[in-house]
Amino acid sequence: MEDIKFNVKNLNLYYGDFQALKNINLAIRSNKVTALIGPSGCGKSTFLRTLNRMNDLVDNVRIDGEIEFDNHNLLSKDIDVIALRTKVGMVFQNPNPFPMSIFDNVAYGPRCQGIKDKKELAAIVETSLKQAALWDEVKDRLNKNAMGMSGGQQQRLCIARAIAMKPEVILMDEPTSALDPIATKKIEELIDILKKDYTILIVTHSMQQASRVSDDTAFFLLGEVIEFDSTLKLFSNPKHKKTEEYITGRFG
Amino acid sequence: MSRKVKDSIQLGFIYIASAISILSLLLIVGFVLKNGLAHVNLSFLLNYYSVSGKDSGILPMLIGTLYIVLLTLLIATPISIFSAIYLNEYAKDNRITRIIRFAIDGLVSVPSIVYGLFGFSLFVTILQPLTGGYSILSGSLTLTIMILPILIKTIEETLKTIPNNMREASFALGASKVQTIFKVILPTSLSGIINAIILGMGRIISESAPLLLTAGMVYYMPEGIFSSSRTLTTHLYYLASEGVNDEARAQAYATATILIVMIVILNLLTRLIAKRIHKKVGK
Repeated sequence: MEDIKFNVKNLNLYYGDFQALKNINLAIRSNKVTALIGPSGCGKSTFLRTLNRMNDLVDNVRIDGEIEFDNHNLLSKDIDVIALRTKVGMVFQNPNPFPMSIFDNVAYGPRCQGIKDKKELAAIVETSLKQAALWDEVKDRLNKNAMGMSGGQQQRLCIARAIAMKPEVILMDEPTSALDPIATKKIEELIDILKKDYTILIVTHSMQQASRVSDDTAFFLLGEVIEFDSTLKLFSNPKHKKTEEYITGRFG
Repeated sequence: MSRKVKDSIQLGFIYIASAISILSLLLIVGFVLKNGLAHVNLSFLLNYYSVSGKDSGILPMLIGTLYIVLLTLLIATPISIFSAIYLNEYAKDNRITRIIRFAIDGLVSVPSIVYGLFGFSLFVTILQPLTGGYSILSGSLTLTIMILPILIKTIEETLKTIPNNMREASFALGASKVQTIFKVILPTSLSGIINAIILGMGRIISESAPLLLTAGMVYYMPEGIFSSSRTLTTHLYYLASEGVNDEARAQAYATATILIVMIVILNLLTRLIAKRIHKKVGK
């Protein structure tokens, strides 16, 4: 039996009267990259945000079903959401560093957890930036404001910021859609390296990106998972007609 | 009319409008300085006021003004920051918050003398045992109520401009709501908060009517926040109302000069402090 990180069972999500996710069942494997693909508005980002309970911040959301994570149902009311988010990090579509120094950006999460020791923080910042392949570019200007970096650098900083929490999972919501091809390539290479240590879920609009970086792929359509399989199988031999139509670019 | 002609007419209006606003500022300041500077000297700054006019000075009013500005800001700033945070970060859009917002909007346009009358009945009369009646404290509390709406509105506008993805980024890193507010939202909106404070400060310094009714007209040196005190503006009002007296008029212009200089200095000082805080928060 393979190591499962998230076991999603019968998940339904409603925004008011609108049902955004319909009976989702997925088993997300540990230390693999899982891509979520599908046309805009199909629920893939919404699904991603249930995994670290970011939907809690939205009014009028109702969720039922179960997501097993570390032997607990992470949708349960008793779950410590803050502790969950330290284990399940997130990188957003648009790079969103805080308007503070590069160092402070990476140290933000650990500081919020109460780490004050300067040496310890410096060590965390260095390892995180190295893992995010950013250290060599910024090591001489850690005290400079992060807003002065390029978009690609900012996004890698956001990845470093997530890594600094030593999470088990990193959720990426279209992390390269605001970046140029070269910056995109760097992020994809980084994902390949990071999957040794982390379980990664990535929402993407690019079929090529999904096939390049992921091990498993889930195809979402109108709130349902139409097909979930290894990326290789899903792209070479899709079982559903809708999947085939989407990955060959006939709609979406 | 050709587009070119229209353009130059528009541009002309813009130039004229800018010229009018800049010129009127220069004219007022120039007029005050021209009539006032000659009477400003060290003894004018450091002496007490004398009714006879001989060697008269404004030190007690200067101190009284500083007292009222500082005390009012000390009370009003934290209240307005936390109110704005509540309205923007916590309050749901429901009937109660709509009533609060409506009240705030309404209070902005209430004439200051009405606040003065209210402060007089509440702080000077009813709460006299606590405030000392006519006092710096009564004046500051009245002005606090007067400037709160504008401070809250300005600060809330600043909070609104902070993109939501800053909050999401912070929550996604396992920060609590309070941590997010104190570590991300407040530092990011610092310049807006400083602007609000400067705006409030301007209103405090320029206000005279409510202070006449709450802080009093005593021209002695204030001994503390329970003393009655005259501010520069109320002093100016007093001097100017003795219009026929040349000596009083000269003193009025000199007082106005000091008032203008004081506003400039306090403005610069606030910005300097803000820069200091910004550096500290950044680390």
